[in-house]
Amino acid sequence: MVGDFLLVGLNGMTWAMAVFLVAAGLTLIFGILHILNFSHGGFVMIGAYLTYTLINQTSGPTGIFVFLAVAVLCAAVVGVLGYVIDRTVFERLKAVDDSYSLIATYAMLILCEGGVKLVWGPDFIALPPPAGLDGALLLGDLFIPSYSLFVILSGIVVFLVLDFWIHRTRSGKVMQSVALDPWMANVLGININAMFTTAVVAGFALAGLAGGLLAPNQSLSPGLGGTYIIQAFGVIIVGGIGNVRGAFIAALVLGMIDAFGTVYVPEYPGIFFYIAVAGILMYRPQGLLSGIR
Amino acid sequence: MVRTTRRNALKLLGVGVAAGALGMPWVRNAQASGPYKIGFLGSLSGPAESLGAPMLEGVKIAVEDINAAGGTNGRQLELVVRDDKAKPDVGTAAARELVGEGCSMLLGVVSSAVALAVSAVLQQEDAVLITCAAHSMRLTKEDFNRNYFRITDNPFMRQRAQAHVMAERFGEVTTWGGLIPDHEYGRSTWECFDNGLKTYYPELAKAEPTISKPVMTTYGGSDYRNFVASAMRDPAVGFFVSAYGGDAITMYQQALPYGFFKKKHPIVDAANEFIVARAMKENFPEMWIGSHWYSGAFTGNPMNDELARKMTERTGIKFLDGFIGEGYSAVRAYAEALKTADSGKTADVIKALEGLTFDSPTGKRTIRAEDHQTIKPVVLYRVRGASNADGIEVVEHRVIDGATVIDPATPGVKLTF
Repeated sequence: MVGDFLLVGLNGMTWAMAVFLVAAGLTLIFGILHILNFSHGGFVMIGAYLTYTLINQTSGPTGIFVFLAVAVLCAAVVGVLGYVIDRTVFERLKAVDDSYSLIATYAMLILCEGGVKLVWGPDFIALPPPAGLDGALLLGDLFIPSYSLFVILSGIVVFLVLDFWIHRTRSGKVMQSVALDPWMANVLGININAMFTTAVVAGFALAGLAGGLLAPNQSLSPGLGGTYIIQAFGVIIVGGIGNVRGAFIAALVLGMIDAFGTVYVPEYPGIFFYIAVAGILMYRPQGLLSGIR
Repeated sequence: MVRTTRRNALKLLGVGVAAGALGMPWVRNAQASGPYKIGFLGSLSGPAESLGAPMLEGVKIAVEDINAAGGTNGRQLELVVRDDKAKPDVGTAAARELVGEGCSMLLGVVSSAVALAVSAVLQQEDAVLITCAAHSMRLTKEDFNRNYFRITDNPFMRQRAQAHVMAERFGEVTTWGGLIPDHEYGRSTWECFDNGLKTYYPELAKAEPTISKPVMTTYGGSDYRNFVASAMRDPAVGFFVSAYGGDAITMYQQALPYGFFKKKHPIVDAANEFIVARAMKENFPEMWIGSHWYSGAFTGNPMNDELARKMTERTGIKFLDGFIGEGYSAVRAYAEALKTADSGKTADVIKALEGLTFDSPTGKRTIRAEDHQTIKPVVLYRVRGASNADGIEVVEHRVIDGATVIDPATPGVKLTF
């Protein structure tokens, strides 16, 4: 009984951290630029496909460190793509109505799907976890998949790094000031365009990293971009759009509610996520936390 | 005698324009001369593209073969292709477009939702549709209409055939559970498998099966760990899974570290063909998979061997999906029907298809006249990951005579157990 309870909790944590990994970049970009980037899932997908391709170039079984290095490299590549998109697309969206942003970023998602289909084809692909993460730890009667622990750890590390950057470094604090009042930040001599670009590159790199780290977690197909994105939007809305801490807390809350709901009320699989999102927003329409934190 | 004056010419032109505008089917759908036009409607983009694209290849090969042999009634077949994107509204619009282009004989369709939507407008459009994969029982039951035909098996046949083989081969495994997506197709496959277990275990294994309540899963999810954990806690030993495509890959990947496939055996996969096995390669756990067509099961049938050879030549794929065989068979059915319905008029084609027996890559098939369900062999194979160039191997296959597992023909009446 206790073992079952722990296992459900652990699975809830795994879901929460996987979704947080995807949501982190999304909420960062919104927090600074106030652009809801619909194409974010598309770049998570590109990160996953790049990881698959690079891993397949290595001979023999892939170890954890090689896998991590590949995921970081893919994050860098997607970050560079982010820079290009900032210069060519986001730069033009700053002065226009929100509806244009929605259309432009949705168009980019379609481009991502088309690009993936052209390069990798429409068929499903699977990437097994690296050696060392393909088994399970046995604690008493409790089976804990190593890869689940890896996803949980990755989510926590990414959160801590982001939180440290935003709250404990000068550039993070400058970023907060730009998010709160770009005009005043500009008057004070801060290069706000550079800060916007930094946020976009970081957001896209996080998308690439999430894709790489989560590639062995699910099937890869040109529709992968939409797999996590609904949950990621749910998490950033409940957390308070633009707030990294809020997204982290919301992922944990929603992950636990969904996991226990799924197991203890099995007749309605998956519905508890939506009930929780609706329920929380009824009492806190602004989200659990607000502002860039 | 009518004089040819400018006024009369204008009147005739007006009648012609009005007939076209009103969609008068006897004007649009008569295929009295020139090539017979066949409209392919299938998922060529979107989530079901990897199912629709091979189906289209099977259709193309059949059209090429028939045309190379002189066509039907001395007339060539002309193929017009439209993408339904696996969306009912797009499918309906595409079907109307095809009819507008003179294709009253439609075939293809992967998604049951699209098939149900298109089926509803067939009579209005005076067109016929033969579906090659859509599995909803409603199509030949409560939502049946005379303009719709299914060239392949249905869940009642497929899942009962799977239960038949399990009872025959694994009589000692009497406890069964399921991992079922929470939608109409998932529930329908489970009901049919459950019914098959209850029918065939007492008959073939001389034992009563104990069947657990299935674990219902999400559709299009990213995390199936809790569903797998629930299935692990279930005392059932044998498991039936009807998650499809990417969902199945995600579920199987996440189930591997739990030792699910070591603890639960045998595993029966409802309908994934080789799609999941080809993606997971050597990590693919051993299971029995249902298929529309498997070339290895019909070796020696010239039509089968030739289709497999051509398809492998075109794609380089050795383990071919069954959608190819069904696309091919649908064209063969039309070609055979046109021999007696040479006008190509919808009413004549329907009449010719009802009760038609024709050659296909799986041997002779017969389209049941009452509900337009085809009686054909049901195929399943045991596949597992392997350390070879393909990454997978077929260990064995079974072919069950479709006539022994088919549902009674009850068009217009809902299937109940």
